[in-house]
Formats: sequence, C-alpha cells, structure tokens
Amino acid sequence: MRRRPLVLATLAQEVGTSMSKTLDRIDQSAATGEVRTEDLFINMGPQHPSTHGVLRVLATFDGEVVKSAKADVGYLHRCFEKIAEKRQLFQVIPYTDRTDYLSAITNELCFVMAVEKLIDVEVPLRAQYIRFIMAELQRIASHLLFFGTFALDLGAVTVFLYAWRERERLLDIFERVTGARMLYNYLRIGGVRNDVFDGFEKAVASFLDDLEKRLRDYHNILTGNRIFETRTKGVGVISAEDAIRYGASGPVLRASGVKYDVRKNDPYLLYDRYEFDVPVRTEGDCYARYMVRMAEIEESIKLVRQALADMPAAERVIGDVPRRIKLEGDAYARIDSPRGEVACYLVGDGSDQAYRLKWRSPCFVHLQLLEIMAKGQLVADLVASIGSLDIVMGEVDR
Amino acid sequence: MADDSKTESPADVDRRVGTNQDAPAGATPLSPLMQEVVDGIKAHFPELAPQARSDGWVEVFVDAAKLSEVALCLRDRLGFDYLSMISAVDRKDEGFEVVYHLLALLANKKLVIKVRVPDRENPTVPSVVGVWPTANFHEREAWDLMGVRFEGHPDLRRILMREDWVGHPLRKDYVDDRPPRERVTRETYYEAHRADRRGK
Repeated sequence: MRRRPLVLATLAQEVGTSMSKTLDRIDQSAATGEVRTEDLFINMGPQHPSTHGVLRVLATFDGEVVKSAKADVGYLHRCFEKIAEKRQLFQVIPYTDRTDYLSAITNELCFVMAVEKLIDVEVPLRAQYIRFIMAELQRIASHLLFFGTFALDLGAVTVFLYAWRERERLLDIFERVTGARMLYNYLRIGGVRNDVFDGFEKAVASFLDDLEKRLRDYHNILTGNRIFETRTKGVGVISAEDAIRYGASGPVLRASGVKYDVRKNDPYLLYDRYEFDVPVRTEGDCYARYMVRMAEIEESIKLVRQALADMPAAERVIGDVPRRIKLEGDAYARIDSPRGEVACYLVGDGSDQAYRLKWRSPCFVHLQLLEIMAKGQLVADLVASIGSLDIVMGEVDR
Repeated sequence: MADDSKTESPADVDRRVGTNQDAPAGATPLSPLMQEVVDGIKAHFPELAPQARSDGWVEVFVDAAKLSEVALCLRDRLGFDYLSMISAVDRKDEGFEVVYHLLALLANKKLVIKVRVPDRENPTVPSVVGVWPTANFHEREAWDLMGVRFEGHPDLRRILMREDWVGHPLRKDYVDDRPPRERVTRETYYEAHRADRRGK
C-alpha cells in the first residue's frame, strides 16, 4: 500500500516525458514542413462484445483504415477431438452439441450420420422426419439469432429483442421435445432419443404462421433502413473466386454468387424429397449475406411445412443398433449447418470407439476470409464484417 | 479399403490397390461422375491407382514427394477447386496419414487424397497453401495437434494450443506429464486461506 504513490509518480513522470517527446517531435515536423505518420496496431479482443466470443483480431490501422487484420483463435480450445477418441460413441454426442452451441441438432446429425455410415443400421422413417424438422427449425433459430446480433453489432438494439421473442418460442418447442433449450443430446445412433410430444405438429405450425407474418415486419424494420443499408452494402466484399479458394461454405458462399448447397448437391436425410430453393446473391457483401440468411428462413419454413404434412404416424423412433458396434474403415459425413458445411471424418480401427475424429467447422475456415474482407475498410466496418460471417467461437476452437 | 491396410506397409497398400485396379468398380457399378474422376486421374498420372468407394468418393494414395504436382494438376486440369478439409491420422507404427477431402464444387465431384508419411520422428508433407489458400489454417491445426510439418507453409505456428505447449496432443503416444491438479475441497480451500492470512 505504501508503494502505490511512488509507482504512480514514476508513471506520471514517464508519461510526462513521453508526452513532451511527442510534442517535441510534432514541433520538429511542423518546423521542417513534413508530417510523420505511424501505423497503429490494435489488439481487438479476446474479450470484446463485438467479436461474438473469444476471438482476437490483430489489426493494423492507417488512421481509420484497416491495413491488415488477422484472426487469432484457440482461446476456447477444449480438446474435442481428443476427448472423442477416449469416449464411447454415445458419450461423444453431447460434446458435438458444444462445438456449435447455436445449432446443436445439426452437429449431432453430422456425427450420427458419420457413425451410421460405418455400422449397419436402418433409421426408422419417423425418426428421419423428426431429425429433418428439428434440423430445419434449428436453422431458423440460428438465423434469427444472427438477425438479432448482427443488427446489434450495427447499433440497432430494437431488432435484437424482436428476434429474441421469436427464438424464445422456438426454444420452448425444443425444450418440450428434448428437455433442454440449447444443448439437446437428442439424436441417437440409429434414430432419436424419444418421440415428439402430442400436438407437436400444431405447435410448430402455429409458430411458423406467426413467424411468416413477422418476417415481413422484420424486413420493414431493418432491411429497408437507410442506415443499415449504408453500413452493409459494399462492405466486406468477397468475390466468388475468393470464396471458393478460401473454402467458404453455406450462406457466405451463396452470398458471393456460388449456388452450392450440400442439401441440394449432395442430398442427405430427406432433402431430395422436398422442394426448396437455394437463395443466392451475387454482391458478396455483408448485405448479401444478411439477405441470404433471411431468405433461408423462408425456405426452412417451406421445408418444415412440407415435412409436417406427411410425417408418418407414431412408430418406433430408433432402429436396431447392434449391441456390439465395430467401427471399421473411415467415413466422411457432411451437412449444411446454418453456418456452412459441417463435416465429420471418422476413422475406426475395429473397436467400438472412434480411432480418430476430425471435425470441419465452417467458422474456423471462414475466419481466414477476414484478412481479405477487412483490407481497406474502416474500423466500424470491421465489426460489421465479423458479424456478417456469423462466427461461433465454440465451433472455431472446438 | 483403407481400414485393413493398417497392418500393411505403404508399399503393400500400393500393391493391393494396384491389383484392385484390374477389376475396376468391383461389384458396384461406378457412377459416370466417379468414372470421369478415375479416368481423369489415370490420364494424367498413369502410376496412380484411384479407387471408387461405396460412399460416392474416389480415393487415391499419393506419395508425399508428388503431392504438389498432383494437387496443381487436380485444381487446374480436373477442376477440383475446393478443399474441404485436411485431417491427419496417427497410424502408430506406420507413421501418419494426411487426408485431403477435395470437391469440384459445381461439377459435384468428390475425391479423397491420402498421403502416407512413414517417418514418425519428423513427418513432412509439402504444403498446398499455394494451391488452395484455405489449407493455411488446416495445416496449422494438423501441425499443432499432430505434429506433421508442412514444407513451404507461409506461417506454420500453433493455432489452437498455446505457443509454449510441448508436444502434439492428438498423437497416440502423447503423454501429458503435468502433475494432476489438486482438487479443491472445502478443507483445502480454507486451509490455504488460513495460511494466506497467517502470512500477512
């Protein structure tokens, strides 16, 4: 305690000397007629509200213009792949929830699909429908969250609360089906854990009806807003070539004008049975990514409605999984999650545990795009760019 | 397929894959797309033996020394413009296996390249960042967690673990020799707290 004033005094002295030095320098350059400038290095994050978790961006600025921005990840690393090698297969499912915690069902789906490719099991039709509907509802929930937080990044607080209201209803439905609001542990190898509750179809249908009406309100409140358009149009542009070269997927790829969707081009589950469009935009900027996601909500509504209409009557929801599982060979399962292409490479060695599990997370790949997006834009646009990629750090660091 | 090859040496695998080549497709007929991929690879590299897998992927084993050449040709001549993922697998005594999942996006072709690296001490594979820039983070991750060195990578640093971490945690022979953390119970907590207070 006694030393504190002393320290403060030294500090003040140091600051004072450096201040006077700077002033001297300014005087000098003013006298000689040249103005010297210096690049400014700013460390954004890992604790920063606009980075959606523990993302650290190392950025250099020339005045207010970004010269370079590099992502530094790993602050949330939880050794998911190592843990998966040491656990029984069914014990891995809850861990997959926690990679991308905003769309847990799609992650579970990817892992379960990889396992089902290696063992011989038939998934009952009703279970497939439940998986399908839940995955699409999850996409709606995830995009609603993007809608809210992206607006929040740009300073529009009202929208956030509206998005939360819709998402809350969806989470209630999830909770009634699975018992949990975000981390479900619901899918099983060969099916799902339990059937949906009575009146599930009705609850979902009424939610979809309301959502459809409210989507129009959302477009009215945000999409046409001039401030929003100025902040997003032409900001963080990714060309189609760059998107492919840098491995972008999902809405980020489609907003750059590449019409590729794993659900259409390499169909899994029931996606080849039902009709839906793949929304594409060609601008490749933040606005395009926003519009693609909003259009995807509408497509998901369509898909869920079609699936609800011919959902088979109650039957068992889990197939005959062999008592002794032997994983042989390797399998690669990939799906289109709300954030992009999630893939799981599973290698077995004849035992009942994974010999190696590799997880492809779209956000991890997308963060490489930050470098080319950020170059030459303003500080505030950097925040918009990060927001438009819809990063979930749990998935990046695994 | 790849799984029974675990007990074989890479040379054996090449021989086995080579024999399978004489009876293409096996029982299941190849889809035209897969046939196109197989033919394309054979036309450019007659010594490679691409194999069709039952799950729609074409699989090919490539020597580490030839990887750069093959990768460039795959991208420019055969249209594999999209690298989905790079995974490194620890095959214990047979060293490592680096697996590249490639897509020709709009043509809908799928290809797996597997590179076997027998050297356990210093496994090295040429980097493909120059061919597919997305490989940057994937290769850094493989280096970080599995210790496979990618020659020619612009910035091969650890990415998920701390910079001062020792060892590569996903290797099968990795031992975490840090002492286990002591569990904090009510007693140990108060004990430490009391000692702290006495010190002051």
